[in-house]
Parts: sequence; C-alpha cells; structure tokens
Amino acid sequence: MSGIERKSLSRRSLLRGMFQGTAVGVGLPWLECLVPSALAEGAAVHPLRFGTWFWGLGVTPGRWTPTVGEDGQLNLLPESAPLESVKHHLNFMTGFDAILDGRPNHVHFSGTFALRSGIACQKIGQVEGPTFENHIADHMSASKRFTTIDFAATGNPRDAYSFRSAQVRNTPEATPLQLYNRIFGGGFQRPGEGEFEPDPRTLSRLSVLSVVGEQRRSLEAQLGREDRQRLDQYFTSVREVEQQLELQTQEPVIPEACTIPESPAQTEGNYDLANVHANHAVMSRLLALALACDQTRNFNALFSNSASSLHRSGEASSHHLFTHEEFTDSELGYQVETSQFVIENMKGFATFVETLASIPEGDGTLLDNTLVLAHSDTSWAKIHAVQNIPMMTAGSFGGRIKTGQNIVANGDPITRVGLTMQQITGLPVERYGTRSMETSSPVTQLYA
Amino acid sequence: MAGIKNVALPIVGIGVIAAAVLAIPDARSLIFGGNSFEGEMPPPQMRRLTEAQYRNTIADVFSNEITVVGRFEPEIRIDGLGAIGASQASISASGYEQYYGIAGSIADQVVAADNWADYMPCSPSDSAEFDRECASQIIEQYGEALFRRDLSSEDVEVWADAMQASMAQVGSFENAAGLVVEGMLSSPQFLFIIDRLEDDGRGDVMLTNHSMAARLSYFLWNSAPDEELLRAARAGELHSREGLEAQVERMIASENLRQGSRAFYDDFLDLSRFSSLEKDKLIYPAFNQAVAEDAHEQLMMFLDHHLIDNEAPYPSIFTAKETFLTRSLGMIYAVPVVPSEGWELVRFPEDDIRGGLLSHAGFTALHSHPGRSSATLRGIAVRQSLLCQTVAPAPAAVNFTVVQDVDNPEFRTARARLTQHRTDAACASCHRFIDPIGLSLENFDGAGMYRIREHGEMIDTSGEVDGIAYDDLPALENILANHEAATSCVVERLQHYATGRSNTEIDSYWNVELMRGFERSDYNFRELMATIARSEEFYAVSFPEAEGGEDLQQANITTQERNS
Repeated sequence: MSGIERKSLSRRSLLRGMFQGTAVGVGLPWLECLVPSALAEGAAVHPLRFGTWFWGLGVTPGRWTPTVGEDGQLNLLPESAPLESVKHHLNFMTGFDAILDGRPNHVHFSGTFALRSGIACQKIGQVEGPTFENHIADHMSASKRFTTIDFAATGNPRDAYSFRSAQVRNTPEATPLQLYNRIFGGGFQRPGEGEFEPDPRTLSRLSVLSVVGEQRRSLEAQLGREDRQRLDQYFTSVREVEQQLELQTQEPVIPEACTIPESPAQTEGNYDLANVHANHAVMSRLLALALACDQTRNFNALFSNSASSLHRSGEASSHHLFTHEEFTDSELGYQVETSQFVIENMKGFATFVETLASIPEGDGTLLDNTLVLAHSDTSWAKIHAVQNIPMMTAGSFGGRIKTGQNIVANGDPITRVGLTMQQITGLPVERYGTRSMETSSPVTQLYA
Repeated sequence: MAGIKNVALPIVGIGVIAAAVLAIPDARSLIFGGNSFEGEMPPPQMRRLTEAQYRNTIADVFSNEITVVGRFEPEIRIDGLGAIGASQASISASGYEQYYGIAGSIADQVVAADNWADYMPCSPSDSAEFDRECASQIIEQYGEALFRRDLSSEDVEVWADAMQASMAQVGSFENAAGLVVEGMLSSPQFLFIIDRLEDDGRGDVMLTNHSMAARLSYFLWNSAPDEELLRAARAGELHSREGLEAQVERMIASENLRQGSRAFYDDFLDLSRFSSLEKDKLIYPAFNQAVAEDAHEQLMMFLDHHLIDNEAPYPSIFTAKETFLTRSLGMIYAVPVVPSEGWELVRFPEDDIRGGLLSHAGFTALHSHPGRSSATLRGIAVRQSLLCQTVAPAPAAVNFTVVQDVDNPEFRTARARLTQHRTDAACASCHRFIDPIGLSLENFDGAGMYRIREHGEMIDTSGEVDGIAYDDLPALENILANHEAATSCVVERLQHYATGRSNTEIDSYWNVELMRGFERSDYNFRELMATIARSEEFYAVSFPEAEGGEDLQQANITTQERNS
C-alpha cells in the first residue's frame, strides 16, 4: 500500500532500470534543465532545491501562530519571535490535522508519518510505505552526487524520519565532521589545474562494482519476495555510489556560488541544548554549501528529535519531560519552561533560514531557489495533539512560492501539504494520502 | 510447495548437489535421526551483518591489525531483538557509501606492500603482468571466506576477468587485487548472510554445508566460519550428525564463544543504547565516557563470568555477589579498586545491595534519564527485556504533571510522585505493573550511584511483584531468580536471536523442548547455546516463497521511548 498515486515513473527510476545489472562505464545523459547554472548562457537559471527541517514537540497554543496586521505583515508571537528577521521568507501553515480514522495516536509518531507517508500508522514504530520527500529527491537530484543529504544535530543517527521504504531509513550524518567528510571529503572533486584526466582507479572501481551487480539475478532466484525487495533497495543504494564514481570521471563543474569550506573541528554529538545549537549552525552551513556546490538538491535537516530529548546542562528534566510534568503557570496560563524550549527550536530554524539566505546565488540568494518544509511531530505536546500540527515553509523556490503568509486551514488533512510539496517540485502526483487523509487538493495559497 | 525443478537453484557447487543426491537420499533424517518436527518450515534468510559481525569477520578473515573505520547503519530492533531486525533490514544510500568507503580502506591495507605476504596465498612473478593462476587463488580463498560459500569456476572467472580488466587501468597486479577485495566487501553476498539451498533428496531443500557453517559460526562466534569449519563444510561433514556434533563441541569449548555470548547479551539487553547514553555533566560529574564504556564491559564480563566460565544456573545472575570493577567504576560504586589499570574481581558481602544484574551501573544508569533516575524506565526494562512481557504504550492524552515534579514539597520521592500518578485510572493499570520493580532500584541514582535518601526522605524499596510482596531489592532479586518468566524469556530470546526470526509454528514446539532441556541442565546457558546449535530446527529451511505472502510494508524503527 502506497499513499501515493503516480502518473509515471520518475527519471531516476528509469535510469535505474536502464543501468541496473549492466556494466556501467559512461556518464549519465545530461538533461538541459540539470546543467548547472555556470554553464547556462544568458540569464542564469539556478537549480531548485527542496528539503525538510524538523523539530520535536510542537508549540504552545496561543503563543506561536502569528496574526496578520493591517499592513499585511506577520505579527509574530513570543514563540515565533526568533523568526522576526526572516519572516518575509516564511509561510506559517496552521489548522492542518493528522486524521487517524480510529487508528491509535501513537504518540510522537503518528503525526509525523501522517504528513510524510500519508498514512496513519497502525503499529507503533512501524512506518507504512515510503515518505514523500524521497520521491521528490529521486526526481530533483537524479543526476546529482547525492540523492539527499540528511543531518541530525542531536548526534544520534537514529533521529531521522525519512524512509525510502519500510526497511530503509535514510541514515543522517550526526556530527559536523561526519557531514563535512561526506560532502567535502575524499569523494569531492575540487577544480583541478590543467586538463582533466579521470582517475583510472575510478574507472576500474566502476567495472568491479558492475561485477557486484551481475550477481543480482542469481541471488534473487533464491530469495523470497520480501528479501528480493530488500535486495532491490540495496542495489538502489549501490547505484547511487556508482553514480558518484561516474561523476568523478567527468570534469567537475563548480557553480559560481560554491565555496569549499575548511573541515570543522571534531565535536561531540548529544542532546545538550547549547551543543545542539552549535552543531546545528555548523551543519546548516555545510549543507548550504553542499547545495550551492550542487552536490545534491535535496535534504532532511533535524534540529531536535520527536519527543525531544533536548535538555539544558544541569537540569534534571528534558524538553519532553517538561511538556508532561511542568505545571501550567497559574498567572501566565502556559508552561514556562516548555515554552522556552519551543523558542530555542525556533531560534534554530531562524539560523537555518539565515544560513541559506547568506549564500549569494545570481542576483539573489540560495534561499530564493530553495523550498524548505519545516514541521513538528505534534502540536500541543502536553496532550500529544495531532490536530493543527505546526508547519512552515521557507524560501520562494525560484519565484514559485509566495511568502509572508499565515495560511489557515480548518481541520483539513495534513496530506494537503505533502501533496503540494510534491506537485510544486514537479512530481506528476494527483492524489496523496489514504482513507480520510486522501486528498487531491493542494494548498494553492502557496503558489505565487 | 513447489518441486525442486521449478526453482532455479543458485550456483551451488555442482559436485555437492550430486553428492547430496547420490549419497544421501534422505539427508535430513541422516543428520537428525529422522525425527521430523511439526510445523511449516521457515523460508531462507538474508540477514544484514551487524557492526560487531562485520568487525569480527574482518579480524578473523584478515587480522585484527586491519582497522575498520566508518559509520555502520543503526540497528533495527524488531520484537525485542536486533537479530530479528537484521533479517528485515536493507541498506540506505548513505549507509552504502559508508560500507563502500570502509571496504576500500580495508582493501588498501590488505594489499599494502608490507602486508601482502601476510594475507595473500601467492604473488605474481611480475607485478605488471596478469597472473591468472594467482588471481584465481586469491579469489577462491577470499570468495569462500567472505561470501561463505564455494565459488563456482564461473564465479572465479568473472572476478578474474574484472581483475584483469582493472590491471589495464591501475597498472599493478596488487592494486587490481585490492579492487577485487574491495568489490567483494561491497557485495550483498558479504554484507548479508544469504542462505543457500540444495536438494535434500526427498523433494525438499536444505541448507548447503557452507550455509550451515555460516549460521553456526555467526551464532556461536558472531563471526565468519574459521578454516576448520570451512574444511568440514567443504568435506560435506555438516550434513552428518557426527560431523555437526564435532564442530558444535569444538566451537562451544573455544574462547571465541565469548564473541557469540557477548553479542547475545548486547542484543538481549539492548546495550546498543550505550552508544548514545548521555548523563548531565553538572548533575553527575562522576559519570563520563570512560565510566559508560566500563559499565558496558562490566556487564559483559559479569555475565560471561557466571554463565560461560562458571556455568552457574542462569537465575543466579539476579542474585550474584561477584562482579568486576575498574578504577573509574570504583568512583560510581564508592569502592576502592586496587589496580590502577584493568579489572578487579570483587565479591560483595551477602548483605550488600550490590552484585546482581539489576544493581549494575550498566543497568541502572542505562535505564535512567540524563539528569535523574526513572523507576518507570527500569521497570519497563525488567518486564520487557528480562521477563519478555509486553508493556502497553502510554495513552496519548495524559496529564503527567504531578509525576515527577521533583520540587513539589508534598512528593519528595519518586515513590510518592508515582503513587500519586497511579491514582489516575488511565495510568494505574500499567504503572502498577511496571513501577514497583523500578522503585526497588531507587537506591541507585541516574548514574547508578548508591543513595539512601532522595530530597532528605528515606527511600523505601519494598514492593509487590506478580502477587508476591517483598521488602527490598535482594528480596526482589530472589523473586526474579525464581520467576518462571525469567528462564523462559532467555530461552525464547536466545532461540529468536539464533534464528533471526520471531516465533513460527516450529519454533513454538521447539521452544518447549528447549525449555525442558534448560531445566534439566539446571539452567546452563552454555549448554543451551550448544543445544540450539545442534537442533534440526536451527537449520530448518523451505523453498523461497515465490508469489503471494504478506508484503512487508513495515519496518520497526527504534521507537521513541515512550517515556524518555
């Protein structure tokens, strides 16, 4: 059961079909639209990027959702206030629900996967079907070195909510150094001097990998259906490495906006709030440079985990424990410490958006050519509510997205947002979601 | 079930099939005495190597001089075990990049000029000339060791051709050999343990000798088959009862058994959590990375000491008084440790609260929050991991506010706060089941350090578990040691761990047999490992399911701990 109805195969699937199991020693055909901007003549057309940014434990009712003033400007509330400097790049989306149709509310789990897979999961911890951003990445990053770059600022590679299939979670990089090494380490091709010569070793590696691929059919013959699927996923992953090697055999194309950073220092990865802020800032910058250098066009970034374990040094309680245990302040009418953690998460998002906006690209910035979907696992964490899950977009996606709005739905299925993201990134998807969350109605207010 | 002719059998050594068909008309009965068991046979498996298996395999196939640096895919736990998750997991793109990088770095080390002679069976007379005979020897040797099967001559040919083609590019024989090793280490045949089948002579299939060897070896030693086991596999000895028995006996007696037993403890007690264990530095300054590593190792040494070395009855791990300490653990235990480096065997007095499994820092600190203890997390760990009982997930709409408001003057201790919580009907049924066990461990704080009071109030460790009231932790440990669920749980988990599958029909019958044997052996864990390794059910396999069947649309992700 897939939550997605597709009109046709993605380009990546076609490529995969073409190349799997055959000896591969040639570069992929380039599509015009995928040629990096530096090569394009006349007005530069910059690549578009899409990705997600996740934070755990939602927001406090009445303290986050902005209002729109008479001047049309967003008036932020205390928990969204850290976003003041970037609010003109954002849209807030409220009133979208995970509709569970009588299925249990698996706390800190159902909300995320209602949006991401279009399905209210039956069993705790069991993802049903792939998450939608994978389809987008397959489409947008088909010829890129990485289909997606994912990071978790918490230091824990298990903190990831992007599933390529039920059996494969996209494993994120969990420290700045890991992220740097993956993007700008050995496999990164720096612009060379003189004439480009492909490394003969790389060509050989490709032919040896093709031997690995040739074993596929004989292996499949002895496996049951589920295991054949697992093997198929395995070879999809092999294919990505092959593609990376193929790119190494071609002269590197380094876009104008690309700067190659220095390696960051080795840092600890953990849930200590100050450390998460520090690592997240470095990782956001590395990711932004990976996008500017066109190493990938898709990403999943995570500031805090579902049921957030963030804590301040010296305190016995984490954000999660606070949401459930902190008394509502009788005068203020909300949980003070809990609210403070929401503010910290929003500071994190502000950093992320500012980082994308700090990289010039053509006449604008990287952010102008990017669409970020930010969301949480729950709305009011104190009661694990999955109605009105807070979401935002950032960036105008090459002028395709209108920004600076507060879009209010009235209990609509959250899958409308998932559908919109797929359609706006060019996927031929008409309907998305299952049961009461099945929808063919995108959030048109987002369209410029 | 389909007939053998309908299945394109993979490249099994043709000689082996012939031998099986000619010499063993009813191979299974020959091996196991013809007592066929009840229930449907399980399908063949494809298990992803765990990080420990990968590392052990590299150390055993090459040597422990080879460094393995890289990030492995996080384990997936299903039905309480990573071993079951490994039968359902695949590899993500970012994960494969890592495996590919690790493979390259291992291959570079193996073919480095200084190491060549140590690892390679032959050398070419001229580095610049392709020596097909030497290439074939290398491919045969490492193909068998890494793929856990006999390579057919066609297989060898394919790899040798690839190597020859590489030579044209990379110039030297050694470099080309490195690329072959890298390719083998990047193959699904290495990264997954894939069952291979052959005709059993009665129209069904059975595991090949090599696949039996792999299953046996990864269970008992958590590593690839060694040369002796491969020799037995090549000779077809594992398809005879005596041949199999001889190998099981040899392997159970070996020091390498510790690799296997430790891998099981890690999985059984979910000790992979140590890798992300974090304690607040201001609240628990004594608990640092060295303590965490030692606390993990301490549990391994403790369990091996009682279960493998002394072959003490399994329940004794709850009531034991002997364990091992280092200086850094001595800080947590507030016990002087004489050697400045390494481990010291310590025996606690009979009336000391320390010594049993539950009192270990590796248990109490692991099942706590970063900044405080958690009776609930500890209770869940005992119920789920040690008694194999199911704890329902917390309901969604619950107000936890009073539970652990540690500053509330009315509720100074965890017991007072949880008792208040249990008055809420929605919470009560589960917490009555979980909390008393955890409350009896409240004398250990979030870092596993001993305390008598919390917020000035004496800590009460009495409780009631499954209808039996008790006064303190030693009394609870006694109850657990005599709890039927404790012994049946370890049997079930070891059985599932060995097979990588949750209960199937044959496993239920087999479980009863194993339970009886475990009782008769006075709960000898080492003997239980041996019994499983010689069981027919352990090697049972059927044709792969060609069509239909349940589509596996689900994977277990490590759930966000309901209470963390």
